[in-house]
Amino acid sequence: MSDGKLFTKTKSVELRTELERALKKSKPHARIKIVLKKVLANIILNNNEIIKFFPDIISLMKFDDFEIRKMCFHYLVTFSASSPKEAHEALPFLVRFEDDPDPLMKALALKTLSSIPNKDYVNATFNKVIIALHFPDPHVKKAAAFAVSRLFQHDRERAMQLYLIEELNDLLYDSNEAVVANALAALSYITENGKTLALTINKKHSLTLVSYLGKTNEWCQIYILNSLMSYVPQTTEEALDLIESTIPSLQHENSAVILNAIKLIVYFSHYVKNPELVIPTLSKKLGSSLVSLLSKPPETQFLALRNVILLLLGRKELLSFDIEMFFCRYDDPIYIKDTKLEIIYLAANDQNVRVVLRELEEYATEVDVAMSRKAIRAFGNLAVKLTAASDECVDVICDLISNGISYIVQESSIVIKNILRKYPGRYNFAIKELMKHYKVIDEPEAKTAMIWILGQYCEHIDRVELIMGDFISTFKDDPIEVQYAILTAATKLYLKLPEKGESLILKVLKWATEEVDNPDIRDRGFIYWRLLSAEDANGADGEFQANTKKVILNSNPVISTDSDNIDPSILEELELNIGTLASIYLKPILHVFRYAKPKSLPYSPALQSRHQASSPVSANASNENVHVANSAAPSTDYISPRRMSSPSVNHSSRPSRHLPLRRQESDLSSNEDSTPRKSSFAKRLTRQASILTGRKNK
Amino acid sequence: MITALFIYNSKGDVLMSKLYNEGVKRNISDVFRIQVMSVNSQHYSNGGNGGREVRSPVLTLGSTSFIYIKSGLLWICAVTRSNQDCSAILEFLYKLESLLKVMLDETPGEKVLTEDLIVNNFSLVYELLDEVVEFGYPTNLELSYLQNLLTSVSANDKIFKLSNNALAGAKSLNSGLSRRKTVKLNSLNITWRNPDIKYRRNEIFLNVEEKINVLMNAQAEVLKAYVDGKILMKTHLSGMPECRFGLNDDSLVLNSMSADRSAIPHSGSVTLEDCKFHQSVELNKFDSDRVIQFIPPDGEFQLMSYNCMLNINLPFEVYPQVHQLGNLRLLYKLRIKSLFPSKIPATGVQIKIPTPKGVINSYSTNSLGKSKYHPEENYIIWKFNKFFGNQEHDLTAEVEVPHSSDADIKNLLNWTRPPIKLEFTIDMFSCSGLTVKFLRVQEKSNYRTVKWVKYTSQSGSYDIRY
Repeated sequence: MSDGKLFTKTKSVELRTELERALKKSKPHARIKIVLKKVLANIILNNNEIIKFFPDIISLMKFDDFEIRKMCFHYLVTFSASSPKEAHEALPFLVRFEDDPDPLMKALALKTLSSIPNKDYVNATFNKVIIALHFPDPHVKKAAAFAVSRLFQHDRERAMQLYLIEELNDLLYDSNEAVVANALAALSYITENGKTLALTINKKHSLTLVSYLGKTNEWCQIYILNSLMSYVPQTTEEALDLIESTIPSLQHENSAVILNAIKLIVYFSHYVKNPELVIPTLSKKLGSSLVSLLSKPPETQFLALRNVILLLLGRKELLSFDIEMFFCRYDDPIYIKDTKLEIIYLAANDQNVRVVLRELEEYATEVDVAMSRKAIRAFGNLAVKLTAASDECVDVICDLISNGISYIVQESSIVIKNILRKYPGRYNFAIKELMKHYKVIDEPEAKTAMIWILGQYCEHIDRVELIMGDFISTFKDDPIEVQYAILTAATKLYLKLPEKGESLILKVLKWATEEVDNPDIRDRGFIYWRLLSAEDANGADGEFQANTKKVILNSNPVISTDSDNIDPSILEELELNIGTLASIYLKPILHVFRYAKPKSLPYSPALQSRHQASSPVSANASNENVHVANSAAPSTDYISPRRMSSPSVNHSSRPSRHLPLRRQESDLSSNEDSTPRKSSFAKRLTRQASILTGRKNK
Repeated sequence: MITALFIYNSKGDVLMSKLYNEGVKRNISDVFRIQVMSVNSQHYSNGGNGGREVRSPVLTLGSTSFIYIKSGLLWICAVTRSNQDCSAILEFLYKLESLLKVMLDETPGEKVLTEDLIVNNFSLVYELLDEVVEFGYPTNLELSYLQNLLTSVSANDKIFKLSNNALAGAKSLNSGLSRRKTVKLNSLNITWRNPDIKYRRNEIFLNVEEKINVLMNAQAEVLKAYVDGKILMKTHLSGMPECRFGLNDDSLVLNSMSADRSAIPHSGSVTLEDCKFHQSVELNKFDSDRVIQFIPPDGEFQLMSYNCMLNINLPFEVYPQVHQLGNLRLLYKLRIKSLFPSKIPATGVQIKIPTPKGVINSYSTNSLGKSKYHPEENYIIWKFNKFFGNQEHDLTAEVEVPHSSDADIKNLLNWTRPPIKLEFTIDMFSCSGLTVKFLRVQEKSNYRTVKWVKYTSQSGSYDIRY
């Protein structure tokens, strides 16, 4: 019989009449069940009106029928909290059922009792649970274990006073592996939510748990692996043994078992010096087990890929794989393609760069505009990252530009700007190629890049004043960042080539100071104007605008890809959370999940300090731009994990979802690196001050 | 871990809801509908790149996350609070999906979850959700375990037909006593099998299924090739049989086990990059002695999956030549060569040759099979009924695009040239070279077992660039 026609919203009055009719029969069970199914449908459909049906439910509890009782329990769990008075009348039934000799009934009653947060129910559960924890049947023990964590949720203090957690701990020494694993799951809830509580496992027990791994079902294995994270190895040998015994789990079919095993192995690797050398197959095994997750459904693939990024950022040495495995497939969802591109970028090195470039070229010429743009970005970033490959990258980009397709040219102009900053003077031929197609450029970001190039390299560009004039003509309608770029570039052009730039700079400065509303643009305009028209603008020997040049024409600091690195302490915490939601966002966990319990590597004599410790951060900080205009550090734009345009939408920081994703994310990231920035800010200030004083002294 | 679970139909109506823990209200289901489902369908109607493109598998709002999958037209969504094990939740959603498919589907052939299936069995599904997860933690999703716990199914229901006579026998004594006994045994170590299964005829079916994924360039050089394989089993065995299983003994190399990456395996050996086993397989035994030993669950299951990249037996090579004749015409010359033994036929062989949009004229000739231009998909499709090994066939085709405006000419120039795709199925052929050498079944009653082994190789994505 199909239940489909019972799946509708009903009023309690109607249900009651139907029930009364049913009860008149000599064998009412079947009819009662139909009424109860309708009740269940209303629970599912969130119809709170049937709360009025409570008295009838209580009257049904006296039937000695497992199915009827079970359905009544569903009702009790749903509505008891909102009508405690009626619920109280059902309590004696539940208490009686809990004493039932049938373990199924007993377990179910205990589960129901503990699921209801009412005071009287909680009291009753406290009375029952300890006995149930010692009941011989594993099914009841399991229910009791979870009942303890529910009690912990309802009344934390009392649960602690009654030493329930210690009782639950004793279950860990049970002879049945499934009971142990479920007790671990229940305990993990408690330790996750009790700020001061932590699971402690001794050495002997850790070995017992490891030995259970092969014998229990997949879910139990997950809980066991996860709980082993609470064991702190005291010596390197111990950590090695544990890694060795976790390795078989990498071959499990369940992706959660694999990711939890990886998490555990990465954790224990912190307690071994150069684990990849001690166990030479380790990196290969980790790599291949992650790669094998790519045959899973896309959601799981995505999670695995994000964790590959995490490991590439923090523990590259633990991971070895063929980069070809991360090449995009024609039909991958966009969020997978994005993540794969990031991995390709991060994993590219001098050995595999040839293969990578060939593959990226394929993407760049694809129909999918977004994909092709990303591929071009990747080219640019690779050119900056791998000096040896830069020639080839620039060749390919020039090749792509020559087709004159608008979005390719726009994207290319952005990456070429970065390449020029990394290798000043080396790729001036790329500028020429780019300038042939300047007319197609209309996006602000590309425009800004183009204008910066025009200002910076004006002496190498033919007809620069015409091109510049073209860009300037829309000045008043341009967005602010383009206006800034134009101001600076026009000034540079004038300084370098006064004859060509004079009419342009006059136009721009006039617009900026008289017609633009934005006060910052105006101020910038005035600053340039005053600099240019200052009495001592020309040098002592009468050289044209020598002093102004000193202020404006600074050589930019060379950019690098150091900003790929996330702060090691953030990485460390993320590594302890492999496979969790936080590993998708790759952001400090407390930024995403305010109530998550912070995790860190516990100290033991075997703990290894991180080899890259903090050096990249300081290097990064000193690389902060001194130059004021055009200062967005370009290399962080796409690849930096902090600003990655992650497809997962995260609203933790702001409720409005209409903002463009990338903005939102970079906002978030600004908090996290505030510390290194602060120190560099001081440095910057002093440096700038010295420039100023230096000039005064002259 | 999981705070609540919802199943929606394509319109966003809630078909199933189950709260596992405090912390969210039932109306949290509306948040998901508004934030995810409506956003995705909007993109559909705006004619964007399709709903799939904007989808992301996770949405976090404040401390609450929605982790979801799509199954047919249905959405299955888990709601969690704070930072939880995403891998376990995703895995749970997929396992739940396949469990529902097995339990609800009347016609075992087509495996799609539909709104009707959920609604017509809503009380069973609700009960199921109540049993498989305790306090938000998935505990056991094995059919054999659940059969003893679910009450909403009467003994003559389809699940029991499905898991056939053996279990129905055990179940017919539905007294509290027998139930207690089975549960006790079940909650011991082997959760995936009932100890009192009986068959008159003991059979074990073993299917080696391989999907080969290849990317070739125009010179038939392989850019990327790998095999995704799996071994599926169907067991009808009595009692608690212990199975031992052997693959190409000594020539089998597990790549991830050998430290030396550069070592080139001798030809003829099978190198598995990686393999994954069903939960019943004793992993530490495999790790130490390389023996696959397990007590199988009853019925169908996937014993192992593996990946293979080296020494792959490529079944086909394709040599494409595409020339542009003037501004408007393209000439295709294609040769396909089969490399497997000549006695074996490949079936369902089909080559999809992409063409630019808006072709007005097309003609094609070929040495075997049928070729036809399909304007709605922009493909020339070349089909064969049977394609035996060690053969070679050719196709010549020409297409013409209209010359109306400049944009069209540009179309041909900037035509994106998606890869040529090849589809096929070959029975009794394994691309990886993996073979099953022995399969032993041991049980204390020492019965005789009939064993069946079958190999199938299929195309995954077999792409040829040109």
